[in-house]
Amino acid sequence: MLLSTKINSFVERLNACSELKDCKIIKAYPYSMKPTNLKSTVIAVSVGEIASENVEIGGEELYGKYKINAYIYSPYKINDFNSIISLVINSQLNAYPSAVSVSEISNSDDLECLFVNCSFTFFDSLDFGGDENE
Amino acid sequence: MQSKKFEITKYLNALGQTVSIKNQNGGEGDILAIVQSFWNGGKSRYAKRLHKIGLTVDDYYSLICSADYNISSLNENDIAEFDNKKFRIVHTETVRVGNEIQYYSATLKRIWEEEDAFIN
Repeated sequence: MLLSTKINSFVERLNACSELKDCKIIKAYPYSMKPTNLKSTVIAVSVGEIASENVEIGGEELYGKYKINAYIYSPYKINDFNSIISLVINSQLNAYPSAVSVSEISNSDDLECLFVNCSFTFFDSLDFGGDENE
Repeated sequence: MQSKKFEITKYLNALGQTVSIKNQNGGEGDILAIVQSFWNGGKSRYAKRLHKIGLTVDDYYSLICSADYNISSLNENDIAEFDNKKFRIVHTETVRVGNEIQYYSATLKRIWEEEDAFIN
Protein backbone atom coordinates (compact mmCIF):
# COMPACT_ATOMS: atom_id res chain seq x y z
CA MET A 1 0.00 0.00 0.00
CA LEU A 2 1.44 3.38 -0.97
CA LEU A 3 2.29 5.90 1.73
CA SER A 4 -0.14 8.42 0.24
CA THR A 5 -2.91 5.82 0.49
CA LYS A 6 -2.14 5.38 4.17
CA ILE A 7 -2.36 9.13 4.73
CA ASN A 8 -5.65 9.29 2.81
CA SER A 9 -7.05 6.40 4.89
CA PHE A 10 -5.98 8.21 8.05
CA VAL A 11 -7.78 11.38 6.90
CA GLU A 12 -10.88 9.37 5.91
CA ARG A 13 -11.08 7.84 9.39
CA LEU A 14 -10.90 11.33 10.90
CA ASN A 15 -13.61 12.56 8.52
CA ALA A 16 -15.79 9.58 9.40
CA CYS A 17 -15.89 10.68 13.05
CA SER A 18 -19.07 12.74 13.31
CA GLU A 19 -17.94 14.49 16.49
CA LEU A 20 -15.03 16.00 14.53
CA LYS A 21 -17.30 17.49 11.86
CA ASP A 22 -16.59 21.02 13.12
CA CYS A 23 -12.84 20.54 12.70
CA LYS A 24 -11.01 21.24 9.45
CA ILE A 25 -8.87 18.29 8.44
CA ILE A 26 -6.03 19.08 6.05
CA LYS A 27 -2.73 17.66 4.88
CA ALA A 28 0.14 19.54 6.56
CA TYR A 29 1.89 22.52 4.98
CA PRO A 30 -0.80 23.94 2.68
CA TYR A 31 0.67 26.73 0.54
CA SER A 32 -2.00 29.28 1.39
CA MET A 33 -2.40 31.94 4.05
CA LYS A 34 -3.42 30.74 7.47
CA PRO A 35 -6.61 32.48 8.64
CA THR A 36 -5.54 35.17 11.12
CA ASN A 37 -8.24 34.11 13.54
CA LEU A 38 -8.91 30.38 13.53
CA LYS A 39 -12.66 29.89 13.83
CA SER A 40 -12.44 26.16 14.39
CA THR A 41 -9.94 23.47 15.27
CA VAL A 42 -7.61 22.45 12.43
CA ILE A 43 -6.02 19.00 12.23
CA ALA A 44 -2.98 18.81 9.94
CA VAL A 45 -1.91 15.30 8.98
CA SER A 46 1.59 14.41 7.83
CA VAL A 47 3.99 11.49 7.63
CA GLY A 48 6.35 11.07 10.56
CA GLU A 49 9.25 8.64 10.79
CA ILE A 50 9.49 5.48 8.73
CA ALA A 51 11.66 2.47 9.63
CA SER A 52 11.13 -0.51 7.39
CA GLU A 53 13.14 -3.61 6.44
CA ASN A 54 13.14 -6.10 3.63
CA VAL A 55 10.93 -9.06 4.37
CA GLU A 56 13.33 -11.37 2.52
CA ILE A 57 16.82 -10.92 1.07
CA GLY A 58 16.50 -9.64 -2.46
CA GLY A 59 12.79 -9.14 -2.03
CA GLU A 60 10.94 -5.97 -2.95
CA GLU A 61 8.49 -5.92 -0.09
CA LEU A 62 9.32 -3.71 2.86
CA TYR A 63 7.77 -4.23 6.24
CA GLY A 64 8.11 -2.10 9.32
CA LYS A 65 6.77 0.78 11.28
CA TYR A 66 5.71 4.20 10.13
CA LYS A 67 4.36 7.16 12.02
CA ILE A 68 1.54 9.45 11.02
CA ASN A 69 1.32 12.72 12.92
CA ALA A 70 -1.92 14.59 13.52
CA TYR A 71 -1.12 18.14 14.60
CA ILE A 72 -4.14 19.65 16.30
CA TYR A 73 -4.43 23.47 16.35
CA SER A 74 -7.22 25.11 18.30
CA PRO A 75 -8.12 28.76 18.81
CA TYR A 76 -7.63 29.97 22.38
CA LYS A 77 -11.39 30.23 22.87
CA ILE A 78 -11.99 26.49 22.35
CA ASN A 79 -12.41 25.08 25.84
CA ASP A 80 -12.75 21.40 25.09
CA PHE A 81 -9.29 20.77 23.67
CA ASN A 82 -8.78 17.52 25.58
CA SER A 83 -11.94 15.94 24.18
CA ILE A 84 -10.76 16.72 20.63
CA ILE A 85 -7.50 14.87 21.36
CA SER A 86 -9.50 11.90 22.66
CA LEU A 87 -11.73 11.89 19.58
CA VAL A 88 -8.74 11.97 17.22
CA ILE A 89 -7.17 9.00 19.01
CA ASN A 90 -10.47 7.14 19.15
CA SER A 91 -11.05 7.62 15.42
CA GLN A 92 -7.83 5.70 14.66
CA LEU A 93 -8.22 2.77 17.05
CA ASN A 94 -10.00 0.55 14.53
CA ALA A 95 -6.87 0.77 12.32
CA TYR A 96 -4.94 -0.90 15.20
CA PRO A 97 -2.04 1.50 15.77
CA SER A 98 0.81 -0.17 17.64
CA ALA A 99 1.58 3.00 19.60
CA VAL A 100 0.05 6.41 20.20
CA SER A 101 1.89 9.31 21.76
CA VAL A 102 0.62 12.77 22.54
CA SER A 103 2.90 15.73 23.14
CA GLU A 104 2.38 18.38 25.78
CA ILE A 105 -0.20 21.05 24.92
CA SER A 106 1.61 24.25 23.94
CA ASN A 107 0.58 27.65 22.75
CA SER A 108 1.94 29.48 19.74
CA ASP A 109 1.94 33.28 19.86
CA ASP A 110 2.77 33.37 16.17
CA LEU A 111 -0.21 31.24 15.15
CA GLU A 112 -2.42 32.50 17.98
CA CYS A 113 -3.59 29.05 18.94
CA LEU A 114 -2.98 26.01 21.12
CA PHE A 115 -1.41 22.97 19.54
CA VAL A 116 -0.60 19.37 20.29
CA ASN A 117 0.92 16.55 18.27
CA CYS A 118 -0.74 13.13 18.28
CA SER A 119 1.62 10.59 16.82
CA PHE A 120 0.37 7.18 15.65
CA THR A 121 2.73 4.28 14.92
CA PHE A 122 1.57 1.48 12.63
CA PHE A 123 3.22 -1.79 11.62
CA ASP A 124 2.51 -2.74 8.04
CA SER A 125 4.05 -3.52 4.68
CA LEU A 126 5.05 -0.46 2.73
CA ASP A 127 5.09 0.18 -0.98
CA PHE A 128 6.95 3.19 -2.26
CA GLY A 129 5.74 2.82 -5.82
CA GLY A 130 7.83 1.99 -8.87
CA ASP A 131 7.25 0.12 -12.08
CA GLU A 132 6.16 -3.45 -11.54
CA ASN A 133 7.53 -4.52 -14.95
CA GLU A 134 11.10 -3.45 -14.20
CA MET B 1 5.07 71.72 25.24
CA GLN B 2 2.43 73.51 23.20
CA SER B 3 -0.74 71.88 21.99
CA LYS B 4 -0.75 71.30 18.22
CA LYS B 5 -4.22 69.83 18.12
CA PHE B 6 -5.53 72.32 15.56
CA GLU B 7 -2.69 71.76 13.06
CA ILE B 8 -2.65 67.98 13.54
CA THR B 9 -6.41 67.73 13.09
CA LYS B 10 -6.29 69.91 9.97
CA TYR B 11 -3.59 67.86 8.25
CA LEU B 12 -4.84 64.44 9.32
CA ASN B 13 -8.33 65.23 8.04
CA ALA B 14 -6.97 66.67 4.80
CA LEU B 15 -4.52 63.85 4.03
CA GLY B 16 -6.26 60.89 5.63
CA GLN B 17 -7.99 58.12 3.76
CA THR B 18 -11.40 56.77 4.64
CA VAL B 19 -11.23 53.82 7.00
CA SER B 20 -14.40 51.97 7.86
CA ILE B 21 -14.69 50.79 11.46
CA LYS B 22 -17.06 47.97 12.38
CA ASN B 23 -17.40 47.30 16.07
CA GLN B 24 -18.46 44.06 17.68
CA ASN B 25 -21.90 45.40 18.58
CA GLY B 26 -22.77 45.95 14.92
CA GLY B 27 -22.01 49.68 14.91
CA GLU B 28 -20.32 51.05 11.83
CA GLY B 29 -18.67 54.34 10.93
CA ASP B 30 -16.02 55.94 8.76
CA ILE B 31 -13.00 57.86 9.97
CA LEU B 32 -10.24 59.75 8.17
CA ALA B 33 -6.84 58.35 9.04
CA ILE B 34 -3.32 57.98 7.80
CA VAL B 35 -2.40 54.32 7.56
CA GLN B 36 0.98 52.92 6.79
CA SER B 37 2.73 49.64 7.04
CA PHE B 38 4.36 49.30 10.44
CA TRP B 39 7.51 47.58 9.27
CA ASN B 40 8.29 49.89 6.38
CA GLY B 41 11.91 50.03 7.57
CA GLY B 42 12.45 46.28 7.50
CA LYS B 43 11.12 44.52 4.43
CA SER B 44 12.41 41.14 5.57
CA ARG B 45 9.64 41.08 8.15
CA TYR B 46 7.21 40.51 5.30
CA ALA B 47 8.78 37.18 4.41
CA LYS B 48 6.11 34.52 4.75
CA ARG B 49 6.71 31.64 7.13
CA LEU B 50 5.29 28.24 6.37
CA HIS B 51 3.66 26.36 9.22
CA LYS B 52 1.80 23.06 9.25
CA ILE B 53 -1.48 24.90 8.92
CA GLY B 54 -0.40 27.49 6.36
CA LEU B 55 1.58 30.63 5.76
CA THR B 56 1.84 33.52 8.18
CA VAL B 57 3.28 37.00 7.81
CA ASP B 58 3.73 39.85 10.29
CA ASP B 59 1.68 42.40 8.40
CA TYR B 60 1.10 45.10 10.99
CA TYR B 61 -0.03 48.63 10.19
CA SER B 62 -0.12 51.85 12.15
CA LEU B 63 -3.15 54.13 11.98
CA ILE B 64 -3.20 57.76 13.08
CA CYS B 65 -6.41 59.78 13.20
CA SER B 66 -7.34 63.17 14.53
CA ALA B 67 -8.94 63.91 17.89
CA ASP B 68 -12.28 64.23 16.05
CA TYR B 69 -12.55 60.42 15.96
CA ASN B 70 -12.35 58.74 19.33
CA ILE B 71 -11.01 55.25 18.64
CA SER B 72 -9.67 54.65 22.14
CA SER B 73 -12.51 52.31 23.06
CA LEU B 74 -11.89 49.94 20.15
CA ASN B 75 -10.47 46.52 20.93
CA GLU B 76 -9.38 43.31 19.19
CA ASN B 77 -12.95 42.31 18.39
CA ASP B 78 -13.42 45.41 16.23
CA ILE B 79 -12.55 45.50 12.56
CA ALA B 80 -11.03 48.27 10.43
CA GLU B 81 -11.50 48.05 6.68
CA PHE B 82 -9.88 49.90 3.80
CA ASP B 83 -8.51 49.07 0.34
CA ASN B 84 -10.76 45.98 0.43
CA LYS B 85 -8.66 44.58 3.26
CA LYS B 86 -9.73 43.80 6.80
CA PHE B 87 -7.67 44.58 9.89
CA ARG B 88 -7.94 43.70 13.54
CA ILE B 89 -7.35 46.46 16.11
CA VAL B 90 -4.42 45.23 18.19
CA HIS B 91 -3.85 48.29 20.36
CA THR B 92 -4.98 51.92 20.63
CA GLU B 93 -3.28 54.90 22.19
CA THR B 94 -4.34 58.44 23.01
CA VAL B 95 -1.68 61.13 22.63
CA ARG B 96 -2.20 64.10 24.93
CA VAL B 97 -0.43 67.33 25.69
CA GLY B 98 -1.56 68.27 29.15
CA ASN B 99 -5.19 67.30 29.20
CA GLU B 100 -5.80 68.04 25.55
CA ILE B 101 -5.98 65.11 23.14
CA GLN B 102 -3.71 65.69 20.13
CA TYR B 103 -4.51 62.58 18.11
CA TYR B 104 -5.25 58.88 18.39
CA SER B 105 -3.08 56.07 17.10
CA ALA B 106 -3.71 52.36 16.67
CA THR B 107 -1.84 49.25 15.64
CA LEU B 108 -3.65 47.05 13.13
CA LYS B 109 -3.06 43.50 12.00
CA ARG B 110 -4.22 42.27 8.60
CA ILE B 111 -6.91 39.61 8.75
CA TRP B 112 -6.72 36.68 6.37
CA GLU B 113 -10.10 35.06 6.07
CA GLU B 114 -10.92 31.38 6.51
CA GLU B 115 -12.05 31.19 2.87
CA ASP B 116 -8.58 32.18 1.60
CA ALA B 117 -6.94 29.22 3.23
CA PHE B 118 -6.83 25.45 3.24
CA ILE B 119 -7.12 25.04 -0.52
CA ASN B 120 -5.25 21.78 -0.75
